[in-house]
Amino acid sequence: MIVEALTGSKVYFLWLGFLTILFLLGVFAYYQQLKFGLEVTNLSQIVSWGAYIANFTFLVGVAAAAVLMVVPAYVFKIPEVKEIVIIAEIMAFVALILCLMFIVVDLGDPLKSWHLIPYIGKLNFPQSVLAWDVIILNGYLLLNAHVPGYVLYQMYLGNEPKKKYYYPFVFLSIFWAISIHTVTAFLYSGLGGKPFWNSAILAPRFLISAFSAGPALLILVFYTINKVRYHFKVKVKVFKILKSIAAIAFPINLFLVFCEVFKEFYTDSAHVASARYLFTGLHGHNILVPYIWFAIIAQIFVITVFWVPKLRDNSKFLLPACVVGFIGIWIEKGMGLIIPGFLPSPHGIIVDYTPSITEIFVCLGIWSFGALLFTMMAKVAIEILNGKLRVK
Amino acid sequence: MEAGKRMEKVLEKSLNQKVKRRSFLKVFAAAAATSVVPVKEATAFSFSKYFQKHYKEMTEADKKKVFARITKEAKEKYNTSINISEPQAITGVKYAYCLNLKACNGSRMCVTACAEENNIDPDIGSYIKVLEMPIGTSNTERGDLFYDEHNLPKDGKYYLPTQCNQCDNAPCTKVCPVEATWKEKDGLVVIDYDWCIGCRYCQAACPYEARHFNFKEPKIDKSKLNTQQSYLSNRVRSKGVMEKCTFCLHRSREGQYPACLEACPTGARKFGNILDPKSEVAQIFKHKRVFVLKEELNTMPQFFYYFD
Amino acid sequence: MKYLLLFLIIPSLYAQVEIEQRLDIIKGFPCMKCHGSFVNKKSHFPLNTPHENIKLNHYKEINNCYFCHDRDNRNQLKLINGKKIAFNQGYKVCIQCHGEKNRDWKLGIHGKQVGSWSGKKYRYSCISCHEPHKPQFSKWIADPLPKYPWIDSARKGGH
Repeated sequence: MIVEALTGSKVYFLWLGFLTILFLLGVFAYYQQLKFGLEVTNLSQIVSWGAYIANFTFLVGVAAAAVLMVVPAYVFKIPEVKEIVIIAEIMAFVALILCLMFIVVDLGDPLKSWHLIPYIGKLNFPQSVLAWDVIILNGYLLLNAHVPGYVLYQMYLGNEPKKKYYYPFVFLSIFWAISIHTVTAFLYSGLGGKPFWNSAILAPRFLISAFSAGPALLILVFYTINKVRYHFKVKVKVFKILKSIAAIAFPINLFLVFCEVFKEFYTDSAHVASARYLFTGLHGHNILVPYIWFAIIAQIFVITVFWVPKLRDNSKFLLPACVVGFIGIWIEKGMGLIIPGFLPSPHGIIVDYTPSITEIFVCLGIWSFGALLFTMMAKVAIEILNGKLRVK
Repeated sequence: MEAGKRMEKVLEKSLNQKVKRRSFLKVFAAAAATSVVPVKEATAFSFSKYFQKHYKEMTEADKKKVFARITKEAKEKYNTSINISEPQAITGVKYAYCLNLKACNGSRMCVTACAEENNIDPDIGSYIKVLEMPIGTSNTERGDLFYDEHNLPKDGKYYLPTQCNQCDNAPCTKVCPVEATWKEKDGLVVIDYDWCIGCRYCQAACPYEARHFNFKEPKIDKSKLNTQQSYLSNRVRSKGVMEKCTFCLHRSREGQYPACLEACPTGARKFGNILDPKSEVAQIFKHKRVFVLKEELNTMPQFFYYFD
Repeated sequence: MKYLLLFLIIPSLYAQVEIEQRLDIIKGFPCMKCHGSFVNKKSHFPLNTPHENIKLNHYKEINNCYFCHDRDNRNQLKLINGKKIAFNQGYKVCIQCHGEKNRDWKLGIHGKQVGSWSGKKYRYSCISCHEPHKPQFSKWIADPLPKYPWIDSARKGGH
């Protein structure tokens, strides 16, 4: 299997090489952070969570979105989806690894991470939602390591995977996927001191935006697989299902954003300050305004593409729509959620936060590690799925 | 350094934004530095700190070892002998702090005294922030931290110092994933700095900006170091951990007033045991009309404000 | 009987509090050193003492020094009812009018009080903050704001 991961065409190696370089730059940048502390980022006492936690939050959604393939495959037993559901599960696995990496790079003292292990450390379960998140994310990681791992390995050995060893875990993972993103949303929505986040609608917003960005990414991944693997095709039915989900999820997402915007601006209480900072700028600070409006307009564009049959079946529109939709959700849920939560501070202070160069390189390093891991794992998985890779 | 400056300009142009000089140059400088002899200033890396137990689970022997390590580190870093104490909560005591907003004139002498008493890194500054508030509001978001230092107090304004409220229903202790922060029996919310992993969830949860993070290794002026330290309050922290006001635990548990109270030139600050009916704070509750900040959040602060 | 109890309780309340002794701080005491040998001799002006620049601006009814100062013995003060007061109990002059502040001050909740919250306290007297001749406070200059790294970003834009 390792040989399979490390052999391929010139393009494959160029892609892996590019990702490896980015990853190594990320490692170097993180080393600076370990050495000097988080002062190498642009985080401050006012905006104490930034790019790392924004990426973490977004990636939990990507991981949860694997359920959108698992349900058609195992509950509705659609054969075209069943063929490729493993790839979605691998994507979830990789996304979770990236989530854990983003958490580790955000910690002030990562060598003390063992304090989070129950019994060995002192995990504040069940009072701290972050403690719940630690357990739930790692549980989902194990689920998404076991199911594709077991199935692929059995197929690699030439055996039929035994249902009793993975079916229960598949059904568990359906509920678990919903809970990982709900718990991550609860991290924010349970904080009374941050009125921008302290909203019941946050958990539904998280799930719907995950179900928007997830299909967009899956469409792009499956399209790429169809382009580069001649003897393995993701069937049209899969794309149809993903497009249908995205065509419903994006509008619901915009609707929920609108609900939030209405409540903020119509009530016009003192708590509207953070929403004002995000959508209109506040007291001369307006760096996030173009980004959030781009995200909104991007989603309107995406909805148009997914609702017009001529457009959604035309890859010239579909693919840019998926890219733009993915980025739009990233902005709205990542930077567009985390940063305004802190601003203005309880003492009315507003600072401008954009990630520093070091932060950007660490983030790029982690994303490229994910792309690297996913590329190699997906390649191996595809070769096993199409019967080409078997134990000698 | 020249190459660094050139690279910076290139990146600035392509990213269309000002590169944060410090972080970028550090990246470049460190690349050069790593190949040279290690700088003497490099922080002494102590392994034992990472295997240490949680303070509440330490035995007396553990504590002895830990205090010896801290004293040794201080000697190495500052060439000074320090005293590490761990004064225990006094039974029958629950601390309350009362602040007379009529008397406060925005002098910020409490801010300065706090910084010196608690060995705080200058980037964090102090655990106390004084806001210039317009008369007619108690919404701290309308306060001005950057008020003009002259001609205080200004007409139409009052001055509101804020610090940790040692909440009875603290959101920070609720959210800490590793229980590195907790509320002691005498009401003080404390942090075990060696247990804190630096996730900053408590800082996100606090509605009062009372928790502070060490983004870098604290640089304390050797001559200004306060050598009377305690494990849970003013000992020097390391990079990557949280810190906050502890009502000067090392002083209050020995019967003394916090440093901010002693520094206040107008006697606006009052501190003591709310359970003692003869204490100043109990008398303030009897005779004055006190309020707390953000009461609707039900954090139950133990820091009370009143107008005289 | 109740007076006996008061006799016991009040000292025990005060035993824990030491009030600032003004005589430790006042320069030029005893006053009769100078005031004993002359009374209102204009030829001795200008004096080079703190008295020179005193402008009385306390309350319009208080328009001469002997409202509070004993004309015959400058080493002490006097109350409206004629009773003589030592400088160390100078607060007794203030509380003739400022009754509510007196209550608060005696409880330790008005004015500065340092020492130990659980033990002996040192209470500043009225005059250490309030200049009795001109009690209006002058304007203060605050200590500088700490140099937060984020201060430049926070100060840009209006507030």
